[in-house]
Amino acid sequence: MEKFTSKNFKILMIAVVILLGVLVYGLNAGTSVFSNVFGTVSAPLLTAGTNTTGGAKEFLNLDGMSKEELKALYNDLSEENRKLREQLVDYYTLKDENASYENILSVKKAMPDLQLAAGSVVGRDPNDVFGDFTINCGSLAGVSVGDAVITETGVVGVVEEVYAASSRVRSILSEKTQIGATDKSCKESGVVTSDIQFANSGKVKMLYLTRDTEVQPGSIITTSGAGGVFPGDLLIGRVDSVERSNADSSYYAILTPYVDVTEVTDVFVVTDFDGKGDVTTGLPETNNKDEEDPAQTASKGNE
Amino acid sequence: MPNRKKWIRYVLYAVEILLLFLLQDTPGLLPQIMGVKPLPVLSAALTIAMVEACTPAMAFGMYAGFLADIGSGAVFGYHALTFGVLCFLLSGLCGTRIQIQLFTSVLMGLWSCAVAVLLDWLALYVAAGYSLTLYALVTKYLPIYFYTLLTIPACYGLQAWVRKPRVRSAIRRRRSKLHKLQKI
Repeated sequence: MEKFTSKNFKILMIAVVILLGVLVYGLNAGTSVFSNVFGTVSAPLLTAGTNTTGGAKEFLNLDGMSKEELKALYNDLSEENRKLREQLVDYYTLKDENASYENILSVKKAMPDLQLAAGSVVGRDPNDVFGDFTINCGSLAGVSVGDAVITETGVVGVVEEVYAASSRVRSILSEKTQIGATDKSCKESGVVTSDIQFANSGKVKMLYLTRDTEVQPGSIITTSGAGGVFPGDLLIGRVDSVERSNADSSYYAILTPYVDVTEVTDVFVVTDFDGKGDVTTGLPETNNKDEEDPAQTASKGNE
Repeated sequence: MPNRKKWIRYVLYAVEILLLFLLQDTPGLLPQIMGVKPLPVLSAALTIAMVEACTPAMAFGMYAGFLADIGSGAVFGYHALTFGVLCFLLSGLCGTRIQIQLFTSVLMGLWSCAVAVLLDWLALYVAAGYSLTLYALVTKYLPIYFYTLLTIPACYGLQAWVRKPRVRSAIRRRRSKLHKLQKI
């Protein structure tokens, strides 16, 4: 009994009560004041850590090379170094900036109505099994919850939590991410999602395909734009195979996403686009003048 | 003087946990085994709890938990609560029942780390409503657990290093006292 009346135990109880309060507040308020404050403080720390690591990694990534390979690499690098001395000191900085602007420009050119905010991946939680990550742009850059996150090669995920200077992104490999998708060739629609089994192999699946589906291996799957969350025509992935669902008679396609979310470093957040938040965007237009047979309408809906 | 050294030790613990947090969350810094990375922040909090008194152990557990909360998608305060309580219990056990050495630190890490990882699995995966819970436990959370266990000896070494000056000075003080007594 003495243990329960000791000073240490009382301190533990007080701490537990305070933390439970923080926990309950966080559950009710979503993004709480505490997480905002800590998120704002941690974002620059994580960014600094990531930047430092980037340079060091190139030097340390010499695993699995033989002595001859290392010698050849050394000679090549010496030669390259001689050439680089002749160039400007900030050559690489400018080159990287240029590449980054080119990426933005390519996305902008392809989809001029997109409002983009550029960000870098600064944090990855080892405890997260779906490859979710933290980026260094938040509400100050115009990012809000539910914004699509993309790269120049395809969809990466969706913004889950927003702080002032950072955001947490739920990856496309997460079971909770659901994206309206369409096959560009046969115009067939479905929902792209994943689960832990698919996430482990870096795949996603496109659900709700009919028995007579025309989706084939090699088909390109893009966002449909339905629901107003993702803009239409963003690349998602390529179909590997089409399988029959065990749960029902529907079929699903297994896709390899164009972006490897576990390796991605720079992303764009789509802060705004034409039709954002419009739930009817991307849905097939209905003809109100000609009244259709309800049975036909139902069968179309199922399709 | 001992009080000042105690605070210096606490500052070193705080810096250590912060650096390990950066190591843990910075992409591509720690090597992956079976597609998972370890949780050195958890290891650090547990090993500090093994060598410190209950209240500072709990405080450092909460601090490590808050940092873990920043990096994860969990409700803010969840890790602070679990780490805080776990470190308090671990410190109480190590302070009264078990003499901590490298081997016993790994033994203590076996169960305490398992509790933390299992709670994570329950709260962040099962309670979140994801499917294939056992598959996730076997393919993700168990590898995280074993990988984190590997970091416990290293973290214990760090804690021993942080405490070393204090031990040395204590030995020196005892020796000087002995010398004085011998002279008398």
